[in-house]
Amino acid sequence: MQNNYMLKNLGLLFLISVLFCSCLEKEKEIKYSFTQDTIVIAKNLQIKGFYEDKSGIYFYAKKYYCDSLFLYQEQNGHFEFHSFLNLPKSYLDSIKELNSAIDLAFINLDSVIAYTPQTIALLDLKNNALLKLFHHSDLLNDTCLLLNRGGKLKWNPERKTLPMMIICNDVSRRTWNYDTKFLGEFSLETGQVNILPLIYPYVEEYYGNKNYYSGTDPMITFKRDRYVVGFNTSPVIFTYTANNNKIDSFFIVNSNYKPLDEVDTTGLSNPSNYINFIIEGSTYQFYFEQLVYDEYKDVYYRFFAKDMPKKNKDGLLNTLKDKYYGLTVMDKNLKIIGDALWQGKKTNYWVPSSKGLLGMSSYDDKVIIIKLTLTYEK
Amino acid sequence: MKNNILILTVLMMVFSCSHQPKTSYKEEALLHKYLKKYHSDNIIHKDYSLMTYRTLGLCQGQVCAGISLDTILAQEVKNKGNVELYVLFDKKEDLAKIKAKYGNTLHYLIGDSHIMDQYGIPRAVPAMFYFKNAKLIKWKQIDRY
Repeated sequence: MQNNYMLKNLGLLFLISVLFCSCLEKEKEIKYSFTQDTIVIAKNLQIKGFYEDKSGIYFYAKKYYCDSLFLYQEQNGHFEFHSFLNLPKSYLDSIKELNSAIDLAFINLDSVIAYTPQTIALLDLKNNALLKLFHHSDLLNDTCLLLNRGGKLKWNPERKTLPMMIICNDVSRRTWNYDTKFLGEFSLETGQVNILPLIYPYVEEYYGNKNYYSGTDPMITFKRDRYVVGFNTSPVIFTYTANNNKIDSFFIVNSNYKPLDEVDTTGLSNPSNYINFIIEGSTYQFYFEQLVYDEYKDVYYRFFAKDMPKKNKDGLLNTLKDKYYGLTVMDKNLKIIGDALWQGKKTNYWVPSSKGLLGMSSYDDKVIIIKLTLTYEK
Repeated sequence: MKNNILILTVLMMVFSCSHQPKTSYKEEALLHKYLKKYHSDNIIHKDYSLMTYRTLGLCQGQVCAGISLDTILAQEVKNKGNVELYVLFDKKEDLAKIKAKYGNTLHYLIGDSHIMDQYGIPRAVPAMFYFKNAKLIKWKQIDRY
Protein backbone atom coordinates (compact mmCIF):
# COMPACT_ATOMS: atom_id res chain seq x y z
CA MET A 1 0.00 0.00 0.00
CA GLN A 2 2.78 2.34 1.08
CA ASN A 3 4.85 1.26 -1.96
CA ASN A 4 1.94 2.14 -4.27
CA TYR A 5 1.68 5.57 -2.66
CA MET A 6 5.43 6.15 -3.13
CA LEU A 7 5.31 4.99 -6.74
CA LYS A 8 2.41 7.37 -7.43
CA ASN A 9 4.37 10.27 -5.89
CA LEU A 10 7.50 9.39 -7.84
CA GLY A 11 5.47 9.22 -11.04
CA LEU A 12 3.96 12.61 -10.32
CA LEU A 13 7.39 14.06 -9.58
CA PHE A 14 8.73 12.62 -12.83
CA LEU A 15 5.84 14.10 -14.79
CA ILE A 16 6.33 17.54 -13.21
CA SER A 17 10.08 17.36 -13.94
CA VAL A 18 9.48 16.48 -17.58
CA LEU A 19 6.94 19.30 -17.94
CA PHE A 20 9.29 21.76 -16.22
CA CYS A 21 12.25 20.80 -18.36
CA SER A 22 10.27 21.05 -21.55
CA CYS A 23 9.17 24.55 -20.56
CA LEU A 24 12.77 25.72 -20.21
CA GLU A 25 14.08 26.93 -23.51
CA LYS A 26 17.30 25.19 -24.33
CA GLU A 27 20.03 27.02 -26.19
CA LYS A 28 20.93 25.32 -29.44
CA GLU A 29 24.38 24.43 -30.57
CA ILE A 30 25.98 27.06 -32.75
CA LYS A 31 28.70 25.69 -35.01
CA TYR A 32 31.18 28.19 -36.33
CA SER A 33 34.21 28.44 -38.56
CA PHE A 34 36.69 31.20 -39.33
CA THR A 35 38.37 31.79 -42.66
CA GLN A 36 41.06 34.38 -43.26
CA ASP A 37 42.07 36.33 -46.30
CA THR A 38 45.35 38.25 -46.08
CA ILE A 39 45.73 41.15 -48.46
CA VAL A 40 48.81 43.25 -48.99
CA ILE A 41 47.80 46.87 -49.36
CA ALA A 42 49.60 50.19 -49.58
CA LYS A 43 51.28 51.31 -46.36
CA ASN A 44 49.37 53.66 -44.06
CA LEU A 45 46.12 52.76 -45.72
CA GLN A 46 43.35 52.90 -43.14
CA ILE A 47 40.52 50.45 -43.60
CA LYS A 48 37.29 52.32 -43.14
CA GLY A 49 34.60 49.65 -43.47
CA PHE A 50 32.60 47.22 -45.55
CA TYR A 51 29.80 47.87 -47.99
CA GLU A 52 27.59 45.38 -49.82
CA ASP A 53 25.03 45.75 -52.58
CA LYS A 54 23.83 43.57 -55.47
CA SER A 55 27.13 44.08 -57.30
CA GLY A 56 29.22 42.55 -54.52
CA ILE A 57 30.93 42.93 -51.17
CA TYR A 58 33.51 45.69 -50.83
CA PHE A 59 35.82 47.10 -48.25
CA TYR A 60 37.03 50.63 -48.57
CA ALA A 61 40.17 52.24 -47.31
CA LYS A 62 41.78 55.66 -47.31
CA LYS A 63 45.13 57.25 -46.80
CA TYR A 64 45.01 60.21 -44.46
CA TYR A 65 46.27 62.79 -46.94
CA CYS A 66 44.96 61.13 -50.09
CA ASP A 67 41.81 62.39 -51.83
CA SER A 68 40.74 58.94 -53.09
CA LEU A 69 39.13 55.94 -51.56
CA PHE A 70 40.61 52.54 -52.35
CA LEU A 71 37.87 50.05 -53.09
CA TYR A 72 38.49 46.28 -52.82
CA GLN A 73 35.92 43.74 -53.97
CA GLU A 74 35.37 40.18 -52.79
CA GLN A 75 35.76 37.55 -55.47
CA ASN A 76 35.55 33.87 -54.62
CA GLY A 77 36.51 34.45 -51.00
CA HIS A 78 39.41 36.80 -51.74
CA PHE A 79 39.40 40.60 -51.77
CA GLU A 80 41.08 42.26 -54.74
CA PHE A 81 41.65 45.87 -55.64
CA HIS A 82 38.65 47.12 -57.59
CA SER A 83 38.90 50.88 -58.17
CA PHE A 84 39.60 54.31 -56.82
CA LEU A 85 36.72 56.52 -55.78
CA ASN A 86 37.66 60.18 -55.88
CA LEU A 87 36.29 62.41 -53.13
CA PRO A 88 35.07 65.78 -54.47
CA LYS A 89 37.71 68.48 -54.31
CA SER A 90 35.15 71.02 -53.07
CA TYR A 91 34.47 68.78 -50.09
CA LEU A 92 38.13 68.23 -49.30
CA ASP A 93 38.79 71.97 -49.56
CA SER A 94 35.93 72.70 -47.20
CA ILE A 95 37.29 70.42 -44.46
CA LYS A 96 40.98 71.04 -45.15
CA GLU A 97 41.52 73.29 -42.16
CA LEU A 98 39.70 70.95 -39.81
CA ASN A 99 42.50 68.41 -40.22
CA SER A 100 40.17 65.55 -39.31
CA ALA A 101 39.95 61.93 -40.32
CA ILE A 102 36.90 61.08 -42.44
CA ASP A 103 34.50 58.23 -41.72
CA LEU A 104 32.04 57.08 -44.32
CA ALA A 105 28.62 55.51 -44.70
CA PHE A 106 27.60 54.32 -48.15
CA ILE A 107 24.07 54.96 -49.37
CA ASN A 108 25.15 53.28 -52.58
CA LEU A 109 28.36 53.21 -54.59
CA ASP A 110 27.57 56.63 -56.07
CA SER A 111 26.42 58.38 -52.90
CA VAL A 112 28.28 58.45 -49.66
CA ILE A 113 27.94 60.26 -46.35
CA ALA A 114 31.24 61.63 -45.05
CA TYR A 115 31.62 62.30 -41.35
CA THR A 116 34.20 64.30 -39.44
CA PRO A 117 33.89 65.35 -35.78
CA GLN A 118 32.88 68.81 -37.08
CA THR A 119 30.85 68.08 -40.22
CA ILE A 120 28.51 65.71 -42.02
CA ALA A 121 28.42 65.83 -45.81
CA LEU A 122 26.56 64.16 -48.65
CA LEU A 123 28.86 63.41 -51.59
CA ASP A 124 28.00 62.43 -55.12
CA LEU A 125 30.95 60.27 -56.11
CA LYS A 126 29.66 59.60 -59.60
CA ASN A 127 29.70 63.29 -60.51
CA ASN A 128 32.44 64.16 -58.04
CA ALA A 129 30.27 66.76 -56.31
CA LEU A 130 29.63 67.95 -52.79
CA LEU A 131 25.85 67.97 -52.46
CA LYS A 132 25.37 69.04 -48.84
CA LEU A 133 27.54 70.05 -45.95
CA PHE A 134 26.35 70.42 -42.36
CA HIS A 135 28.24 71.53 -39.29
CA HIS A 136 27.44 69.75 -36.04
CA SER A 137 27.21 73.06 -34.22
CA ASP A 138 24.30 74.06 -36.48
CA LEU A 139 22.44 70.77 -36.06
CA LEU A 140 22.07 70.53 -32.30
CA ASN A 141 22.93 73.15 -29.73
CA ASP A 142 26.49 74.37 -29.39
CA THR A 143 27.56 71.84 -26.79
CA CYS A 144 26.20 68.72 -28.47
CA LEU A 145 27.41 66.71 -31.42
CA LEU A 146 26.50 63.64 -33.36
CA LEU A 147 29.03 60.92 -32.78
CA ASN A 148 30.07 58.24 -35.23
CA ARG A 149 30.95 55.75 -32.45
CA GLY A 150 34.37 54.83 -33.75
CA GLY A 151 33.44 54.82 -37.41
CA LYS A 152 30.51 52.42 -37.03
CA LEU A 153 28.25 54.38 -39.33
CA LYS A 154 25.42 52.73 -41.20
CA TRP A 155 22.79 54.28 -43.38
CA ASN A 156 19.20 53.33 -42.54
CA PRO A 157 17.56 53.01 -45.99
CA GLU A 158 14.08 52.39 -44.53
CA ARG A 159 14.11 55.60 -42.50
CA LYS A 160 16.36 57.46 -44.98
CA THR A 161 18.41 58.68 -42.06
CA LEU A 162 21.79 58.18 -40.48
CA PRO A 163 21.41 56.84 -36.92
CA MET A 164 23.99 58.45 -34.66
CA MET A 165 24.84 58.81 -31.02
CA ILE A 166 24.35 62.22 -29.42
CA ILE A 167 26.90 63.52 -26.96
CA CYS A 168 26.56 66.75 -25.06
CA ASN A 169 28.83 68.86 -22.85
CA ASP A 170 32.02 66.83 -22.70
CA VAL A 171 32.91 64.63 -25.64
CA SER A 172 35.85 62.91 -23.98
CA ARG A 173 34.30 62.04 -20.62
CA ARG A 174 30.57 61.73 -21.31
CA THR A 175 27.94 63.36 -19.17
CA TRP A 176 25.13 60.95 -18.54
CA ASN A 177 22.15 62.37 -16.67
CA TYR A 178 18.81 60.86 -15.75
CA ASP A 179 17.21 62.54 -18.73
CA THR A 180 20.03 62.08 -21.27
CA LYS A 181 18.79 61.02 -24.68
CA PHE A 182 21.60 59.45 -26.61
CA LEU A 183 20.32 58.39 -30.00
CA GLY A 184 19.33 60.50 -32.98
CA GLU A 185 18.44 60.04 -36.61
CA PHE A 186 20.01 62.57 -38.92
CA SER A 187 18.20 63.41 -42.12
CA LEU A 188 20.46 64.64 -44.89
CA GLU A 189 17.41 65.80 -46.78
CA THR A 190 16.21 68.23 -44.13
CA GLY A 191 19.35 68.66 -42.04
CA GLN A 192 17.25 67.87 -38.97
CA VAL A 193 18.11 65.56 -36.11
CA ASN A 194 15.23 63.47 -34.81
CA ILE A 195 16.18 62.74 -31.20
CA LEU A 196 14.78 59.36 -30.14
CA PRO A 197 13.18 58.99 -26.70
CA LEU A 198 15.56 56.34 -25.32
CA ILE A 199 17.12 57.58 -22.09
CA TYR A 200 20.52 56.53 -20.69
CA PRO A 201 19.58 53.97 -18.03
CA TYR A 202 22.75 53.41 -15.98
CA VAL A 203 23.61 56.84 -14.56
CA GLU A 204 24.28 55.57 -11.02
CA GLU A 205 26.48 52.72 -12.22
CA TYR A 206 28.43 55.11 -14.42
CA TYR A 207 29.17 57.61 -11.68
CA GLY A 208 29.59 54.89 -9.05
CA ASN A 209 32.64 53.56 -10.91
CA LYS A 210 30.97 50.17 -11.17
CA ASN A 211 31.73 50.15 -14.85
CA TYR A 212 35.13 48.94 -15.85
CA TYR A 213 35.05 50.95 -19.01
CA SER A 214 35.74 54.56 -19.67
CA GLY A 215 33.73 54.03 -22.84
CA THR A 216 30.22 53.26 -21.64
CA ASP A 217 28.63 54.13 -24.92
CA PRO A 218 25.53 52.23 -25.90
CA MET A 219 25.82 49.43 -28.44
CA ILE A 220 23.37 50.32 -31.20
CA THR A 221 21.95 48.40 -34.13
CA PHE A 222 18.70 48.58 -36.07
CA LYS A 223 16.28 46.55 -38.10
CA ARG A 224 14.33 48.88 -40.36
CA ASP A 225 12.48 51.20 -37.95
CA ARG A 226 13.38 49.23 -34.82
CA TYR A 227 16.44 50.38 -32.90
CA VAL A 228 18.04 47.86 -30.58
CA VAL A 229 20.37 49.08 -27.85
CA GLY A 230 22.50 47.33 -25.25
CA PHE A 231 25.26 48.23 -22.81
CA ASN A 232 28.62 46.71 -21.92
CA THR A 233 27.82 45.34 -18.51
CA SER A 234 24.06 44.81 -18.49
CA PRO A 235 22.13 41.91 -20.02
CA VAL A 236 19.13 44.18 -20.67
CA ILE A 237 18.42 45.10 -24.28
CA PHE A 238 16.23 48.11 -25.06
CA THR A 239 14.26 48.56 -28.24
CA TYR A 240 12.57 51.57 -29.76
CA THR A 241 10.23 51.17 -32.69
CA ALA A 242 9.90 54.47 -34.51
CA ASN A 243 6.71 53.73 -36.41
CA ASN A 244 4.60 53.24 -33.28
CA ASN A 245 6.86 55.16 -30.88
CA LYS A 246 7.13 52.11 -28.60
CA ILE A 247 9.96 51.48 -26.15
CA ASP A 248 10.52 48.01 -24.78
CA SER A 249 13.15 46.21 -22.73
CA PHE A 250 14.22 42.59 -22.58
CA PHE A 251 16.28 40.81 -19.93
CA ILE A 252 18.40 38.49 -22.06
CA VAL A 253 20.92 36.30 -20.28
CA ASN A 254 22.99 33.93 -22.38
CA SER A 255 24.64 30.81 -20.97
CA ASN A 256 28.10 32.42 -20.80
CA TYR A 257 26.94 35.58 -19.05
CA LYS A 258 28.38 36.42 -15.66
CA PRO A 259 27.53 39.62 -13.78
CA LEU A 260 30.38 41.94 -12.83
CA ASP A 261 32.18 41.07 -9.63
CA GLU A 262 31.94 43.52 -6.77
CA VAL A 263 34.91 45.77 -7.30
CA ASP A 264 37.11 47.73 -4.95
CA THR A 265 37.01 51.27 -6.23
CA THR A 266 39.20 52.92 -3.60
CA GLY A 267 42.08 54.99 -4.93
CA LEU A 268 40.63 55.32 -8.40
CA SER A 269 40.95 59.08 -8.37
CA ASN A 270 44.62 58.43 -9.14
CA PRO A 271 44.73 58.10 -12.96
CA SER A 272 47.40 55.38 -12.83
CA ASN A 273 45.27 53.24 -10.54
CA TYR A 274 42.30 53.92 -12.78
CA ILE A 275 44.13 52.67 -15.89
CA ASN A 276 45.19 49.52 -14.03
CA PHE A 277 41.59 49.04 -12.90
CA ILE A 278 40.35 49.35 -16.48
CA ILE A 279 42.93 46.91 -17.82
CA GLU A 280 42.21 44.39 -15.08
CA GLY A 281 38.48 44.65 -15.69
CA SER A 282 38.77 44.24 -19.43
CA THR A 283 41.06 41.24 -18.95
CA TYR A 284 39.16 39.24 -16.34
CA GLN A 285 35.51 40.33 -16.36
CA PHE A 286 32.61 39.42 -18.61
CA TYR A 287 31.29 42.24 -20.78
CA PHE A 288 29.30 42.74 -23.95
CA GLU A 289 31.08 44.27 -26.93
CA GLN A 290 28.78 44.84 -29.86
CA LEU A 291 25.19 44.41 -31.01
CA VAL A 292 24.61 43.63 -34.68
CA TYR A 293 21.48 43.03 -36.71
CA ASP A 294 22.08 40.64 -39.62
CA GLU A 295 19.64 41.55 -42.38
CA TYR A 296 20.71 38.53 -44.41
CA LYS A 297 19.60 36.04 -41.76
CA ASP A 298 17.11 38.14 -39.79
CA VAL A 299 18.90 37.50 -36.52
CA TYR A 300 20.71 39.64 -33.95
CA TYR A 301 24.17 38.97 -32.55
CA ARG A 302 25.43 40.18 -29.21
CA PHE A 303 29.21 39.81 -29.01
CA PHE A 304 30.80 39.34 -25.62
CA ALA A 305 34.12 38.81 -23.86
CA LYS A 306 33.99 36.00 -21.31
CA ASP A 307 35.24 36.27 -17.73
CA MET A 308 38.24 34.20 -16.68
CA PRO A 309 40.12 33.48 -13.45
CA LYS A 310 43.05 35.73 -12.68
CA LYS A 311 45.60 32.93 -12.55
CA ASN A 312 46.08 29.74 -14.53
CA LYS A 313 46.98 26.31 -13.18
CA ASP A 314 50.68 27.20 -13.20
CA GLY A 315 50.06 30.21 -10.97
CA LEU A 316 50.79 32.66 -13.78
CA LEU A 317 48.42 35.45 -14.68
CA ASN A 318 45.97 34.84 -17.48
CA THR A 319 46.32 37.49 -20.16
CA LEU A 320 44.14 38.87 -22.93
CA LYS A 321 45.57 36.16 -25.21
CA ASP A 322 43.90 33.56 -22.97
CA LYS A 323 40.53 35.27 -22.95
CA TYR A 324 37.53 33.72 -24.67
CA TYR A 325 35.25 35.76 -26.87
CA GLY A 326 31.95 34.84 -28.40
CA LEU A 327 28.51 35.80 -29.54
CA THR A 328 24.91 35.06 -28.76
CA VAL A 329 22.60 34.54 -31.71
CA MET A 330 19.08 35.86 -31.13
CA ASP A 331 16.10 35.47 -33.42
CA LYS A 332 14.02 38.35 -34.75
CA ASN A 333 12.06 38.43 -31.46
CA LEU A 334 15.32 38.64 -29.48
CA LYS A 335 14.93 35.08 -28.22
CA ILE A 336 18.24 33.34 -27.70
CA ILE A 337 19.15 30.65 -30.23
CA GLY A 338 22.56 29.90 -28.74
CA ASP A 339 26.14 30.96 -28.04
CA ALA A 340 29.42 30.40 -29.88
CA LEU A 341 32.72 30.78 -28.05
CA TRP A 342 36.35 30.97 -29.23
CA GLN A 343 39.71 31.89 -27.76
CA GLY A 344 41.43 35.16 -28.62
CA LYS A 345 40.10 38.40 -30.01
CA LYS A 346 39.63 38.32 -33.77
CA THR A 347 38.56 41.84 -34.59
CA ASN A 348 37.23 45.01 -33.01
CA TYR A 349 33.89 44.91 -34.76
CA TRP A 350 31.90 42.70 -37.04
CA VAL A 351 29.82 43.55 -40.09
CA PRO A 352 27.16 41.18 -41.49
CA SER A 353 27.35 40.20 -45.14
CA SER A 354 25.56 37.73 -47.39
CA LYS A 355 28.57 35.41 -46.99
CA GLY A 356 28.93 35.57 -43.22
CA LEU A 357 30.14 38.03 -40.63
CA LEU A 358 33.17 40.03 -41.68
CA GLY A 359 35.84 41.51 -39.47
CA MET A 360 39.34 42.77 -40.02
CA SER A 361 42.64 43.40 -38.41
CA SER A 362 45.70 45.04 -39.88
CA TYR A 363 49.42 45.32 -39.35
CA ASP A 364 52.09 47.07 -41.42
CA ASP A 365 50.89 46.85 -45.01
CA LYS A 366 48.72 43.77 -44.50
CA VAL A 367 45.03 43.47 -43.84
CA ILE A 368 43.46 40.28 -42.61
CA ILE A 369 39.82 39.93 -43.49
CA ILE A 370 38.18 37.42 -41.18
CA LYS A 371 34.98 35.68 -42.15
CA LEU A 372 32.90 34.04 -39.45
CA THR A 373 30.38 31.49 -40.68
CA LEU A 374 27.71 30.25 -38.29
CA THR A 375 25.57 27.15 -38.58
CA TYR A 376 22.55 26.55 -36.38
CA GLU A 377 18.90 25.62 -36.40
CA LYS A 378 16.46 28.46 -35.94
CA MET B 1 55.47 14.92 21.82
CA LYS B 2 54.50 18.38 23.11
CA ASN B 3 57.98 19.62 22.22
CA ASN B 4 57.63 18.29 18.69
CA ILE B 5 54.35 20.11 18.20
CA LEU B 6 55.88 23.31 19.56
CA ILE B 7 58.88 23.05 17.21
CA LEU B 8 56.58 22.29 14.31
CA THR B 9 54.39 25.29 15.14
CA VAL B 10 57.39 27.60 15.38
CA LEU B 11 58.76 26.23 12.09
CA MET B 12 55.40 26.74 10.40
CA MET B 13 55.23 30.31 11.70
CA VAL B 14 58.75 31.07 10.48
CA PHE B 15 58.01 29.45 7.14
CA SER B 16 54.75 31.31 6.64
CA CYS B 17 56.36 34.63 7.65
CA SER B 18 59.22 34.18 5.23
CA HIS B 19 56.70 33.91 2.40
CA GLN B 20 54.74 37.01 3.29
CA PRO B 21 55.06 39.78 0.73
CA LYS B 22 57.48 42.44 1.87
CA THR B 23 55.79 45.27 0.07
CA SER B 24 52.38 46.34 -1.08
CA TYR B 25 53.20 45.15 -4.59
CA LYS B 26 50.60 42.46 -5.11
CA GLU B 27 52.50 40.37 -7.65
CA GLU B 28 55.76 40.36 -5.69
CA ALA B 29 56.16 36.58 -5.79
CA LEU B 30 55.65 36.54 -9.56
CA LEU B 31 58.14 39.37 -10.03
CA HIS B 32 60.84 37.41 -8.17
CA LYS B 33 59.97 34.32 -10.17
CA TYR B 34 60.18 36.25 -13.44
CA LEU B 35 63.54 37.85 -12.70
CA LYS B 36 64.97 34.52 -11.59
CA LYS B 37 63.70 32.65 -14.63
CA TYR B 38 64.40 35.17 -17.37
CA HIS B 39 67.04 37.63 -16.17
CA SER B 40 69.15 35.95 -13.49
CA ASP B 41 72.17 35.96 -15.81
CA ASN B 42 71.82 39.64 -16.54
CA ILE B 43 71.17 40.99 -13.07
CA ILE B 44 74.57 40.90 -11.42
CA HIS B 45 73.91 43.13 -8.42
CA LYS B 46 72.14 42.40 -5.16
CA ASP B 47 71.25 46.00 -4.38
CA TYR B 48 69.66 47.70 -7.33
CA SER B 49 66.59 49.37 -8.68
CA LEU B 50 64.58 48.13 -11.60
CA MET B 51 62.46 50.31 -13.80
CA THR B 52 59.81 48.62 -15.91
CA TYR B 53 58.33 50.23 -18.99
CA ARG B 54 55.78 48.64 -21.24
CA THR B 55 54.71 49.67 -24.69
CA LEU B 56 51.08 50.21 -23.98
CA GLY B 57 48.98 48.04 -26.23
CA LEU B 58 45.66 48.94 -24.77
CA CYS B 59 43.86 52.23 -24.79
CA GLN B 60 40.39 52.55 -23.34
CA GLY B 61 38.31 55.35 -24.76
CA GLN B 62 40.40 58.47 -24.49
CA VAL B 63 42.75 57.10 -21.81
CA CYS B 64 46.18 56.18 -23.20
CA ALA B 65 49.74 56.43 -22.06
CA GLY B 66 51.29 59.82 -22.50
CA ILE B 67 54.93 59.73 -21.43
CA SER B 68 57.92 58.31 -23.28
CA LEU B 69 60.55 55.93 -21.95
CA ASP B 70 63.19 58.55 -22.63
CA THR B 71 61.40 61.19 -20.56
CA ILE B 72 61.13 58.85 -17.58
CA LEU B 73 64.70 57.64 -17.90
CA ALA B 74 66.06 61.18 -17.99
CA GLN B 75 64.35 61.78 -14.63
CA GLU B 76 65.24 58.46 -13.02
CA VAL B 77 68.89 58.52 -14.10
CA LYS B 78 69.16 61.94 -12.44
CA ASN B 79 67.69 60.52 -9.21
CA LYS B 80 69.47 57.20 -9.07
CA GLY B 81 72.60 58.28 -7.18
CA ASN B 82 75.02 55.40 -6.71
CA VAL B 83 72.41 52.70 -7.04
CA GLU B 84 72.60 50.44 -10.08
CA LEU B 85 69.61 51.01 -12.31
CA TYR B 86 68.21 48.25 -14.52
CA VAL B 87 65.60 49.08 -17.09
CA LEU B 88 63.26 46.38 -18.30
CA PHE B 89 61.18 47.06 -21.39
CA ASP B 90 59.43 45.12 -24.12
CA LYS B 91 60.32 46.93 -27.33
CA LYS B 92 63.57 45.68 -28.80
CA GLU B 93 63.57 48.50 -31.35
CA ASP B 94 64.06 51.07 -28.56
CA LEU B 95 67.24 49.42 -27.27
CA ALA B 96 69.74 50.99 -29.67
CA LYS B 97 68.25 54.44 -29.22
CA ILE B 98 68.29 54.24 -25.41
CA LYS B 99 71.74 52.66 -25.31
CA ALA B 100 73.15 55.37 -27.53
CA LYS B 101 71.96 57.98 -25.08
CA TYR B 102 72.64 56.37 -21.70
CA GLY B 103 75.46 53.94 -22.49
CA ASN B 104 76.82 52.14 -19.46
CA THR B 105 75.00 54.22 -16.87
CA LEU B 106 72.13 51.75 -17.15
CA HIS B 107 71.67 47.98 -17.41
CA TYR B 108 69.25 46.94 -20.12
CA LEU B 109 66.79 44.04 -19.96
CA ILE B 110 64.44 43.15 -22.79
CA GLY B 111 61.37 41.09 -22.06
CA ASP B 112 58.70 39.39 -24.13
CA SER B 113 55.49 41.35 -23.77
CA HIS B 114 53.21 38.33 -23.33
CA ILE B 115 55.48 36.71 -20.74
CA MET B 116 55.68 40.01 -18.87
CA ASP B 117 51.88 40.05 -18.79
CA GLN B 118 51.83 36.53 -17.35
CA TYR B 119 54.13 37.61 -14.53
CA GLY B 120 52.19 40.80 -13.84
CA ILE B 121 54.88 43.27 -14.86
CA PRO B 122 52.84 46.50 -14.73
CA ARG B 123 51.37 47.11 -18.12
CA ALA B 124 49.84 50.55 -18.12
CA VAL B 125 52.00 52.50 -15.74
CA PRO B 126 55.82 52.34 -15.57
CA ALA B 127 57.07 51.21 -12.18
CA MET B 128 60.24 51.38 -10.13
CA PHE B 129 61.22 48.47 -7.88
CA TYR B 130 63.93 48.77 -5.23
CA PHE B 131 65.88 45.63 -4.25
CA LYS B 132 68.16 45.15 -1.28
CA ASN B 133 70.06 41.94 -1.08
CA ALA B 134 68.00 40.74 -4.07
CA LYS B 135 64.74 41.22 -2.13
CA LEU B 136 62.12 43.74 -3.07
CA ILE B 137 61.93 46.38 -0.35
CA LYS B 138 59.67 48.99 -1.92
CA TRP B 139 58.11 50.00 -5.19
CA LYS B 140 56.32 52.93 -6.79
CA GLN B 141 54.32 53.70 -9.89
CA ILE B 142 55.86 56.33 -12.09
CA ASP B 143 52.91 58.51 -12.77
CA ARG B 144 52.39 59.57 -16.32
CA TYR B 145 50.38 62.60 -15.28
